[in-house]
Amino acid sequence: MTMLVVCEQRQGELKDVSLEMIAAARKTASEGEKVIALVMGSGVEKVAQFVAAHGPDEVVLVDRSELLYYTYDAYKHVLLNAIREARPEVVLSSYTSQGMDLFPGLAASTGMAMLSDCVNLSKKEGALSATRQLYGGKIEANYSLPLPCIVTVRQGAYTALPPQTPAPVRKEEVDFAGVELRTKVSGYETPPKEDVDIEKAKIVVSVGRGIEKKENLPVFEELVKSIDGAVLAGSRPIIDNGWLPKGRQVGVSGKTVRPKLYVALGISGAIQHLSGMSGSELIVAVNKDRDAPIFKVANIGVVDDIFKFVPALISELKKN
Amino acid sequence: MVINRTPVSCHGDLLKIAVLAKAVPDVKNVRLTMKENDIDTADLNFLINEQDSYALEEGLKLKEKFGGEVIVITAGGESRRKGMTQVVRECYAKGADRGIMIVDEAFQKLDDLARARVFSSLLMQEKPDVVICGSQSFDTATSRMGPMVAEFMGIPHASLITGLEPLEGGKAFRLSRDLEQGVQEILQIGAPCLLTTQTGINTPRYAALSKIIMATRKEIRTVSLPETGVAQGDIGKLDLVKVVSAGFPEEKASNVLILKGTPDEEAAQLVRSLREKGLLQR
Ligand SMILES: Cc1cc2nc3c(=O)[nH]c(=O)nc-3n(C[C@H](O)[C@H](O)[C@H](O)COP(=O)(O)OP(=O)(O)OC[C@H]3O[C@@H](n4cnc5c(N)ncnc54)[C@H](O)[C@@H]3O)c2cc1C
Ligand SMILES: Nc1ncnc2c1ncn2[C@@H]1O[C@H](COP(=O)(O)O)[C@@H](O)[C@H]1O
Repeated sequence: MTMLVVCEQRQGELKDVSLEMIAAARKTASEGEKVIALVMGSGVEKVAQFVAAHGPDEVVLVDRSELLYYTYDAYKHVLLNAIREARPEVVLSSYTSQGMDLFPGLAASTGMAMLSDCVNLSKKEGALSATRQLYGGKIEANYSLPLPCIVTVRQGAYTALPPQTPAPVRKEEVDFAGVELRTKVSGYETPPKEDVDIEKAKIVVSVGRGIEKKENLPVFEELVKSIDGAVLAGSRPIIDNGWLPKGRQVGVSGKTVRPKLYVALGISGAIQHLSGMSGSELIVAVNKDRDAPIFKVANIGVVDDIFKFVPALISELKKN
Repeated sequence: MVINRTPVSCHGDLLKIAVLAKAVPDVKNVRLTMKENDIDTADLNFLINEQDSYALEEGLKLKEKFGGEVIVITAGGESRRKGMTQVVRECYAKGADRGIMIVDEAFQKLDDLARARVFSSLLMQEKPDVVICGSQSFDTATSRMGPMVAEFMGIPHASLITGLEPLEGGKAFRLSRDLEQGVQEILQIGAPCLLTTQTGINTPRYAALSKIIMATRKEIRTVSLPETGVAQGDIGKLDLVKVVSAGFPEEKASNVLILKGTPDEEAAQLVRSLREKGLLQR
């Protein structure tokens, strides 16, 4: 019996989350079950060596020019081969942009059960059980997947194992003859540098869709001005709407901040936002919905209307 | 590497665009109650899944550019018929040409893999050049449907797209895809293909009041599961993942201190507490 962990790298750089995935597999594997880590890419020998030292029983390395960029067709081809060879009970990877693109189709192609964004994995009686959140984090459900199955796991749900004696790395040849690559990647664009570096700020005041419109920003800017060392940031919709520049976005597709104080104003607390700020030292959340998931990570909560609370806060700060 | 394209379906130069739009319950500011391992939706309003309004907008923009039609497809159980009807009408009011509703209580209980097979069966009858869906449903949020449907249809897909530029008269696209930390991947794909939209790709239009009224009179084609052409055996084989239990998550950081009082009182407590912790100067 084996578990196959699919590691993720981009341009020869391993995603930290892949080490968490190996830890997740180790923790979930039954007695004597083998954990195989699959590393694929072009010129990724070093990545494989690094992965080998973080807990798998074996690393399978597929190194080919066709894999320079992630494409669904090339990666699926490698995975179908790996699944045929290793016959894993569980294929496990991370719930990232790549994970979202790759594994649902792989499930359709193989007929294996598939679930994404899972935590709390455990195996019993020929099935994998997993927990995940629904309705923006308001509900949690437990699922059962018949084996063999595919799961993608939430980032931060497991802690990477410390470096240890490296497992063997086995280089695998995969024949690409006749494989059509129907998408063609030409490269990446990184966001431009911003005036303000929210990652370095001591205090981050972050606004969400609760502010309703751009015209309402000034009151929050005033709040930021009345707190020494604070910067203004936002949840994704605020940036999508062009109300704040891209560099001010907190979350998976923005920046990860760990300030001494994080103030979330009118932010619901979707997982993609939480993963960018839950490491903050002190979290204050203001939201009029008592059941908003942001209160699950907050240290201090205010259940109120931000348009009433924030002006009150500003005048309180101005008092001595 | 070359892009190998599956032959384009024959609609001349016109584009046939299918958009998947889900009706999801609005859970903002409501106290939820549970029913049979899910929330009780009996008293809830249904809205178009936010991500799908971006998908629709992208479809409408393509139609405006190249001509053709936008077909909206939605699916759910009988109890969601009203919500689904509203969703299709909203899409009509914004400019969708045809709406298809798969209404079947059996659908509501299926795993997404089986649901994807249902959508793909229906879509294979329509043979669109482009299928566009959201990248994630608000309610179940698994981001599985798009890529599963594409695989069953045998067409390429790209997910989480934040930019779309048509090439070759809409028979190929240059896309940007959202990766982590704000990085965008730039890629090309040929039609027929399936795309899933990420927020920020566009600003969905509002529907004019006159069109909203007209939309209530426009017919919506309703089909049952078997009418989608899906094989019953397929459904059985693909209905794999099951919900065992569901409920409210434990308040893990139950040490959250909720401040009480008027806004002024709350603000005073907060400032005092932050000063004590040395987080505010003065
Ligand atoms: C692949 C992917 C990547 C993503 N990346 C990110 C990311 O990097 N960062 C990110 O933030 N999101 C990201 N998202 C989006 C994320 O899923 C949520 O949609 C988003 O975080 C919601 O933002 P919000 O909390 O501001 O808005 P909403 O969820 O709409 O919440 C608004 C909140 O404001 C409250 N509110 C409204 N009015 C008031 C008022 N007057 N007073 C007090 N409270 C009020 C409401 O109760 C509600 O809780 C990503 C999504 C995907 C699929
Ligand atoms: N029942 C449904 N009806 C219509 N579209 C759906 C349905 N379920 C999922 N979708 C589409 O698939 C996308 C991704 O959903 P999901 O995989 O559930 O996160 C959504 O944004 C919709 O476009």
